[in-house]
Amino acid sequence: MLFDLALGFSVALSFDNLLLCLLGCLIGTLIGVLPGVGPIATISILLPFTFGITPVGSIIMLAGIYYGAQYGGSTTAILVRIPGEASSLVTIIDGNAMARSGRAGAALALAALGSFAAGTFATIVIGAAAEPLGRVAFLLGPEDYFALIVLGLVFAIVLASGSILKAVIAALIGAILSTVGTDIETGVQRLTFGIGSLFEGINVSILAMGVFGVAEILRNLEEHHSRPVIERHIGRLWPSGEEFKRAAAPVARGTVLGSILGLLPGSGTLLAPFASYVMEKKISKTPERFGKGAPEGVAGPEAANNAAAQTCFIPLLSLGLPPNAVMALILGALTVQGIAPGPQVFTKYPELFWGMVASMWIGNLMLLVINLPLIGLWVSLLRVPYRLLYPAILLFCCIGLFSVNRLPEDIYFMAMFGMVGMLLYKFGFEAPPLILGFVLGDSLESNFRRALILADGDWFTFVESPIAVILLLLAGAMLAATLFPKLRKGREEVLKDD
Amino acid sequence: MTVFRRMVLIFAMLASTAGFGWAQEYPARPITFVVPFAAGGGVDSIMRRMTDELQKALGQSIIVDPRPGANGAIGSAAAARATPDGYTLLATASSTFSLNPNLMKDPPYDQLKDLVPVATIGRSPWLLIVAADSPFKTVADVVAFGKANPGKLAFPFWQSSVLVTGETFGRVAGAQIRKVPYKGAVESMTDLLAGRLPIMFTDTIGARPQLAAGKIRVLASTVEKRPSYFQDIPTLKELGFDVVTDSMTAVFAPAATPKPILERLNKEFTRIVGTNEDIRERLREFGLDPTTMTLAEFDAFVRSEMARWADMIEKAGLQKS
Repeated sequence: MLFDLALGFSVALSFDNLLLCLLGCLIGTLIGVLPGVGPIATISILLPFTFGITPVGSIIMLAGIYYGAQYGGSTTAILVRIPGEASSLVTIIDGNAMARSGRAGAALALAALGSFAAGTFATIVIGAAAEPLGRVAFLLGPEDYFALIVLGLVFAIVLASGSILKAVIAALIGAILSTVGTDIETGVQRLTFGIGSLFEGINVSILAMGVFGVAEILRNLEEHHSRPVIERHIGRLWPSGEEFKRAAAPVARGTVLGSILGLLPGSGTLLAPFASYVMEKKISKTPERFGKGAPEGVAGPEAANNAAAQTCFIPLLSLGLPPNAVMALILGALTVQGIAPGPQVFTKYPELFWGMVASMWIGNLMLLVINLPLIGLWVSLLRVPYRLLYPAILLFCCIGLFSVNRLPEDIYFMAMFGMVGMLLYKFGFEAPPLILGFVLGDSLESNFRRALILADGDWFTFVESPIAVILLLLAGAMLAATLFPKLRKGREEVLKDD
Repeated sequence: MTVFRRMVLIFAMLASTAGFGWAQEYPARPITFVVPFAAGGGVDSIMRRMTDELQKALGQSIIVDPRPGANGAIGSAAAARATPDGYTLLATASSTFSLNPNLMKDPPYDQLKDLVPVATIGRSPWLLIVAADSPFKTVADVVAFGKANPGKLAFPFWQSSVLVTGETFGRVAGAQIRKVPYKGAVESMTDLLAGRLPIMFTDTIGARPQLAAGKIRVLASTVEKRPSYFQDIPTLKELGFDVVTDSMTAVFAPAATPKPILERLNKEFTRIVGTNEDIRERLREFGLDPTTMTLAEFDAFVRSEMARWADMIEKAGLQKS
């Protein structure tokens, strides 16, 4: 492997490839920061420009855009409570809470450092075990995915810091929103009310920008007496020793979790940060700090999403099976260059594979160098008066969304979901369970149907697979632990009084 | 000759000279190709791949404008309603001109009244594939197994045309094949390779990496005649199963676009797609068999395809919605 890595670095460190890597990281950071504009649209527009460069150069740049966007997305999430990318949704919860209490710089630094650590680890994983790990995708059947998603939905309830009942309702609303669109099997329109732009369902970024971004601005406008949402006083930029100590273990766990979930097709990369957040909250001795600016809740999920963003290259390269839309685009780019991804990549195009692996590490280093000095600049954005900042944020949201599909309806829906988010807030519901329910609802339904059809309607299919059974039991246990903590806590308090 | 008739004649002459002059000047500004699917999808990528050549041929910039939504209906409707001056065109695939009119109760555009054919680019077949370790060596094996074990065969689908392909195959083969909904070709391929699905219909671009790695076998394709790049793969039709469900990538214009403009565009597309080896190779990489037609041929093709798909869709039991 050392020899292979040396080969990789010799490829990645060539002047052209370094430049392409930097270019990719810069573009990625930019589109990550801008809400709405995502790596899918960007990469597809830039794709024709990659035909002229070498295959390894084009994959280095496109990969840089993808993981660069993961870095950039958290900046928006932390500073203005809007997910720059769908994968930075969870970072909002504690990252923004940190920013509100004057620790914006620390939150940004933790996110960047956590991502870097995760990126380094994921690079090693890809280099060391891409080939065997690719097979993980074959191990899971529809019934296993169904069980995994049930577990994910239980996360929605654990995520909540308030009423459990309201979290369940929010997750269900999210799941119902995910059914909007044309049913694939029967062609029936579900909850589209004849609106053409709903035929293909609701886009997650529209929903997220509405219930987080727009709703947040509305909320702040309403409560203008308590206006300094973002502290004028920014605080120290660098995390304190205490914060570093709290963040270290979550980064390690988030990295491992993200590396595994990134291998799974479909919602793996989106699920990773949620899973990390829930795990940190569950094992924390002080779960009540979560949602109020716990550094663990920033560092863990950020590490998880960056690790997943890199290990999701494994199924693409080792099996030729792109696990998400961005990987599918990169598959397209490689195909044009005459390279068919698959197990033969390792032996047939070693300089391509190892060059990409080495460039990923270099790219992560570049992102760290780009992001850390920028923290001061980002944070100073918070000093912009709200009367200027809010219209600017709204404008960016609108431009970002409009640039993707150019449908005015998308903007109307974002505004409508903003009102919905505001109402939810008024009635004490939280947005994260709703978003998680939405993200997972679609896969829940399709895997459920698929499993039953493949098993010819036999319900026992869900308990015949050991993986499914383990995952379902885990979900049950977690649910029980969440539903009855009052009993446990009550007892603990009684014991304490004795 | 009445004054009225004379006026009509003058108008007609003016109109024709105006039209002629227009065609000579055309194109005077950039031309937009609306693509009714997501950026990065098949048609979008194909059009971006052809941009250079089109710019050279037409002497103007080419803009590829993805307008996805409502399974292609939103972008198609936007192009259908655009000013018919040859500067807004629609680049699409069979799903919007052969399938949508038969699947949508209330389509926002009329394929035959609002749009006119411009040029064809290429046809891409669905491929009937099995995993490399599958016991099925030929289509006959699949059909024999399906007949002997009713309900044991299953195929994945993720869009209407795959669904219609599988259902039609089952119908003409007289085998009962279950349909399993999937989100996309990749998830389906994963389950095929893992042994959870016995057969699958997929496109060339999805099959190529697995084919290169020796993980799958292609048993047949759903095209009328064997494409140039798949000379060794039989078509279902020649094996006696009348399943022709390939997708045509093609260009349309708003209905009232002047004929000279349509002819100019058809001429350029025919030249590029028919003779430019570089472009032809790129199209084949995308699984497209480069295909050219005259305006009249293409118009007849659209009409016959709509009728053919209407029949297959009805027999597959899909309802309009």
